[in-house]
Amino acid sequence: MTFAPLSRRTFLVGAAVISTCGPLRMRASGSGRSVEYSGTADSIDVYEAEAGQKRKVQSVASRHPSSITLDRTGRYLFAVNKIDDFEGLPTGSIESYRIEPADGHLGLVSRVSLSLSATMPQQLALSPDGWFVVVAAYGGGVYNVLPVLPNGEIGSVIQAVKEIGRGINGYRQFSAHPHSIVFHPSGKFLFGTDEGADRVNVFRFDDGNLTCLQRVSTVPGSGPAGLAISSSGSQLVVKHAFSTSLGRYRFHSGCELLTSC
Amino acid sequence: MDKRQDPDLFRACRGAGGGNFGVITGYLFDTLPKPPGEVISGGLSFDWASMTEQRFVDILLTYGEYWATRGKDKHTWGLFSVLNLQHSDAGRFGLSLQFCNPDGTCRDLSVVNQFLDRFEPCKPLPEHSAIRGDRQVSNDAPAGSACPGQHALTRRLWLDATVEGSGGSSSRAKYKSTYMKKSFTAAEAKCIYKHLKQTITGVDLRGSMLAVDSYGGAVNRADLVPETAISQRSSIMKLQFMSFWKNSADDAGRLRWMSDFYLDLYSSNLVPAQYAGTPYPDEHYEGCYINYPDKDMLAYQFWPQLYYGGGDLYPFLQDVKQRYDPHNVFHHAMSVRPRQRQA
Repeated sequence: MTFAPLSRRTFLVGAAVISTCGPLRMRASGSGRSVEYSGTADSIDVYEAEAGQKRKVQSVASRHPSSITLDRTGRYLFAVNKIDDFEGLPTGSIESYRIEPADGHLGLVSRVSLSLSATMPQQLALSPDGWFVVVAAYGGGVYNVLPVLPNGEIGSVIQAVKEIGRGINGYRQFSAHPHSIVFHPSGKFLFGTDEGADRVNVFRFDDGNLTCLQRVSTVPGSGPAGLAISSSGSQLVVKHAFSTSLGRYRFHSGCELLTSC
Repeated sequence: MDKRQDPDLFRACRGAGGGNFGVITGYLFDTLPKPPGEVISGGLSFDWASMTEQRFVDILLTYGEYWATRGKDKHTWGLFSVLNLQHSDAGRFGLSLQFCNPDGTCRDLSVVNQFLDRFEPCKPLPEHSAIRGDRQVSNDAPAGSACPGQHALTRRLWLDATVEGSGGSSSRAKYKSTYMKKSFTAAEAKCIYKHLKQTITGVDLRGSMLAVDSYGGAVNRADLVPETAISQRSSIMKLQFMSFWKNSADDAGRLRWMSDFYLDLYSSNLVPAQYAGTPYPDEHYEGCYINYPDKDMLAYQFWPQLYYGGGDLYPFLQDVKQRYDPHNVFHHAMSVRPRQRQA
């Protein structure tokens, strides 16, 4: 099992750690140098690593960056802010940063609002072609689609897919909580776990348009959360928040069907 | 739903229904009170060109003092008035009223005349006053006729007065609001005068105003608090800060004028320091009205308390939200917000 690869120019994605809370780290390496980006409660920190030694070289202000990723060219970094209030409105926000080719330092390109009620966004995913970013808003129970412009700027939300549903696990599952999302390598499908509604969602993704194809129920009360896809896009693994089990699934792209293994 | 079926949702919709919980598709009324047969409309007008700060202060204090005293008398509850304080760019501003007696007729106009008489020292414009004489309205006066008397009064059927005169053609608008529990202070009146006289280069402020509605009567029955979602039950006036315009190029100037006006007016010692810039519910003010939504207030972490009071009403509404719309399908910028839980 490997993570969906991002193409490379300046940096290579080495590893990404998905966690349900707290800082998220992503390591990128360039020619002879390794740079790491780490989200904290109020910043994204940039570290240089050399010969096993790590040194913080920059810290940019960012509110609760819960998920960060690089674009396929390695020129831009995207982060989603897990907040429930942006500029006075009940929503989260998303940011893009320019990565300086020389040293990997970050410069803010854009910071935009998600749709109303898209609170506490948990994760973002860039479409493989790099033209769109999708956000799973855990708190508000909604997916957002936003365009990415050639200069790395994020445009306004073009689609919001509101989720309803609940589970049996008390207050933790009173409503839908989209948790993790990942694109199929073809870019034609998007998979998402819903921790609140005990299901794995399959969406068709067509030029920025998200349409739900299938909802696969998990064990009641299990809370599907973490999600990883094989490089071929044929296998998915789901980590559950409220049980110790993992869920394994097979995706048949020909008939657009997700089945449990 | 009613008081027995889904009583909490019913209570929530009696004052906080606006886009929070769903869509009401029909209303059934049990017994309705008998409507009035007729109403009297009238008013006064004042000229900005000759207006002085002192006369302006007198007008506002006269108006506020009436509603803080005589206006609490049940015999006056058939009187509603609006002091339309237009920006000075408009040239004049006015006072309008509507009235009927508790029996649904306009045979006795003493309440109206006593109210209007109070403004005589404030020099209303003469062309808006009828000749002196009998102020009684003839019972067979045709609808729409001017009534004899010192003040220009018009008699209409209640239904006509209710359905006419609403709506406008402006494409852009901004609102703010304030409930007032007491009359204006002189300092407040002077602040209002300053902002209504203020001009901004390149910004036409016609169509900008502060409308001061009379408030009170049965709406101030405290026993209605636990069965409705309106916490404001002690106010004598409700203020509407309004601006209407057509071109987006004027947005910034119009919004800045109103924002500066509001911030200035509510940064006095009448507002506790931690709530400066807002009419937070306290001794003098009673917050804002949710059906004049004002997104600017979202900048204050305590905005729900401005609209729903500092008691248990907003937490109650959040509980109703959780029970009836747990997915927050019905939402807007100022809707009741679900309690968040962390991943």
